[in-house]
Amino acid sequence: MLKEYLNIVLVGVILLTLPLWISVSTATDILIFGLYAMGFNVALGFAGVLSFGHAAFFGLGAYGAGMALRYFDASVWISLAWGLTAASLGALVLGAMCVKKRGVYFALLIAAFAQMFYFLALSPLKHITGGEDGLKGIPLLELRFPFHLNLGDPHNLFFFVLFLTLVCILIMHHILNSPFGSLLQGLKENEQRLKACGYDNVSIKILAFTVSGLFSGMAGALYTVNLGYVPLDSFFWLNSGRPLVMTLLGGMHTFFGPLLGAGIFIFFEDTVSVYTPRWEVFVGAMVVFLILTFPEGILGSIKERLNAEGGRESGKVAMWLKKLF
Amino acid sequence: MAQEIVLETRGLEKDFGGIKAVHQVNFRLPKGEIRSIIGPNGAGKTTFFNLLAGVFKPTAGRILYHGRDITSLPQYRVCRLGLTKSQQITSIFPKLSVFENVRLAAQMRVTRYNLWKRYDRLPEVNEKTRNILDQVGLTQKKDAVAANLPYGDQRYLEIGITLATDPEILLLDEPTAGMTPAETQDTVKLVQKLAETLTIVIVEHDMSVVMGISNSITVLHNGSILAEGTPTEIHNNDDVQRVYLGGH
Amino acid sequence: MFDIPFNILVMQAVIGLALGAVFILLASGLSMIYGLMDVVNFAHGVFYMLGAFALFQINMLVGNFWIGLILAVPLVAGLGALTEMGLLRPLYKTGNPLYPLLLTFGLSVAVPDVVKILYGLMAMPVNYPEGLSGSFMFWGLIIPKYRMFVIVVTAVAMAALFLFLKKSSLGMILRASTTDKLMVDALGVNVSRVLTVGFTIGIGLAALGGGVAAPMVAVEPDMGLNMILQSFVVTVVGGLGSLGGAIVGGIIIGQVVSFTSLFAGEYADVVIYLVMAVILLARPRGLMGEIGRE
Repeated sequence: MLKEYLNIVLVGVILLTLPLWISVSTATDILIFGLYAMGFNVALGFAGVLSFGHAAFFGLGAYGAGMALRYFDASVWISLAWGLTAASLGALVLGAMCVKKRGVYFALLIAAFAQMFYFLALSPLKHITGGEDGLKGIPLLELRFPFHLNLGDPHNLFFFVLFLTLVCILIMHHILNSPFGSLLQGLKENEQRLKACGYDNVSIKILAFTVSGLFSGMAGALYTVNLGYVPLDSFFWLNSGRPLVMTLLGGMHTFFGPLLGAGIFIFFEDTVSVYTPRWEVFVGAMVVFLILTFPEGILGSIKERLNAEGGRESGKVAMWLKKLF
Repeated sequence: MAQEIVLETRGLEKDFGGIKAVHQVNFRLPKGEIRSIIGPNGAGKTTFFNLLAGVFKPTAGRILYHGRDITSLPQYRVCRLGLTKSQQITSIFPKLSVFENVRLAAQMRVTRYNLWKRYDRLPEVNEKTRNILDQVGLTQKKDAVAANLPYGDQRYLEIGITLATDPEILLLDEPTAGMTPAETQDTVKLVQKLAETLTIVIVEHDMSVVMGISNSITVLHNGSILAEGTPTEIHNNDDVQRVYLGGH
Repeated sequence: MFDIPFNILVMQAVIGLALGAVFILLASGLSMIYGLMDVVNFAHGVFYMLGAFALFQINMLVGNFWIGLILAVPLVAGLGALTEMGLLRPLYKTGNPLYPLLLTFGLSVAVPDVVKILYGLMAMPVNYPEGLSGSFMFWGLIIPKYRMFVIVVTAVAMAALFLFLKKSSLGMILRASTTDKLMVDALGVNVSRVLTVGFTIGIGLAALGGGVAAPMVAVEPDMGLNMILQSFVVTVVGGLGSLGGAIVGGIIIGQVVSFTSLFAGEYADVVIYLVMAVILLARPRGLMGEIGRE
């Protein structure tokens, strides 16, 4: 039992120590975007479905939680639930509408719908979304249940986000190792065959996409709790590209790759942006560089290396390490 | 003895852009039979198979399974009813292990959308998978990555995946294509073994295989049924001789 | 729609057509690049923006819009060629279309920031060229001169592109390469050179789009970010990989934007995505998409 979750415990411990090395706000950002990217990778890396519009679900999570906090005085837990619901419903509906399109068509369609949400929030709905300024006026947040915790304190906030991120990672791990999760591999490997085995491939895809959107939405909702407001850019297409970049950075064929990618990306972004407002140059250049040099991602490259080692029966350590990813 | 008809087509038609690939086929399959479908290249055998399995939808006509109309059902529904087709071109999950390939298919009858159990801890699925690997002779290689298997073993794996869906009728599309003579012999034995419990329809080019295992044979030519009968009858049929030897 | 004079409606249609023309210039290049190399070029908006900035810069230096426009296109197209040869080409061999897509995504993040470093965040003023400001009367209708000019330029560019693809031998090789690269390779043609040419033409069209759009829009570093998504919508509506589709899609989306901004300005940017959804539900491959390209 414990052995199974050893990798998650290990990652949890590493994440717990993050504030010792880097600023606590950067650490919180890493958790949130790590969760976003891992959720995104449920679709890309596990089900083989590329979306270029996950900002839609991140944004629905963020605005869902934000509106509950701003207009209904909801508690933190309830607003997170609202964010989750909005995001998974969005993923379910968009997934069902677009799932029959393949490859680039699917990715672009989702991107277009995400952009539609962006413009809806920008102007027709600006009286409730706050338009260009984002959704402001969210009261200071505190946890009332199960114990009192002031989320205005950055360390408290970090532990709160860490707790929820780890819970999400556990659930995600569980889902991917469930009978349904095992079907995703089949879906990615050979969709036709899966269909011929009596599985409804379309429904499986929609469900996988919904699960992916749900975790991305959770990340969005936590983003709101973290910032205390909802920036309009949550919906912008560049925010759809972020988890993709993070995932490829870390390795899309690994469970924790996206988290590692998010760590590097956010650390880099936060560090560079201290020195220059033009940090995007460096982020963009880094993406270009990494694509040209490490196409399998960092964890992916390590895993490939370990696979080669394991194939030679030389390293027990290698086999053991491989199980961790 | 009147046997129960498990599968029947009535006036089955399939057009591909004006070309009739299957034309007015009335086909009746009694339970427990091994039926071979033969015919020259382009006779419409594979199209007919794909119609039966629900991969293509017919232009006209009906398909009845135990008297139930399944013409418009999607492929996965047809499969769940008990009519499963193995592919002519080997179609497996290349990066998964042999065991996982069969296990995925075996899981279909047990659970599909379960998000909470562990996929590798479903005792009945694992049990069934082991049985099937035994049947197709892949137990020794269960941990190998499917893509790394030799060709013949991939064909057996293909049959194993198909079996794992618990078919009542098994549609085998050229199961011995590309096999060595020894492998072909093993396949024939396997098919005969399976026929003890299943009804089998088989498309096959190797005439010695066809003549050896079939209870009856349907000959397709230009999308229509040219002849039907026991292997001996077909062997002595003048029309069949003409199509096969005279080259039409 | 009822209390608005006919004259205004016509003017709005012309404005929409000019906007559609810019969409067409971008979408045709996008579509061609996709058809040729299966790459969704996220950096297309960047080259559109660079086209506008190149025109602005040359216009500043020599004080002539026309020289600016004529030089901007080959300049930016040259940058496109370098991008293709230096950055994209090494990625083809991975066989995964995700990597080129990500690379162009990286460019679309980085390049606008470089421009911000050079030019700042302010929008750059580009005036209408002499003689093309204002409107002219045509059968009692008011037609904005510059918009008409944009429409004509686009029509000429598209006609030239069609002629090139249909009549010239290089154009025929390009078309053949979209369907069967192995065959073209077997004929002894250097396929990677063909891809470079195709990419360069696509980028040249985007730069032309940015150039002609410059006086009509705010020339600023992020101007391509929204444009790229709209151009995707145009290509998807028309059918990915189809030039004719890019033209039809551009005209439709241009009109949709123009008329929604007249009647319900807030929804102008929302409606094009709705139109796309409706068209795709009715015709899954877009209006003029080829079968098998889905």
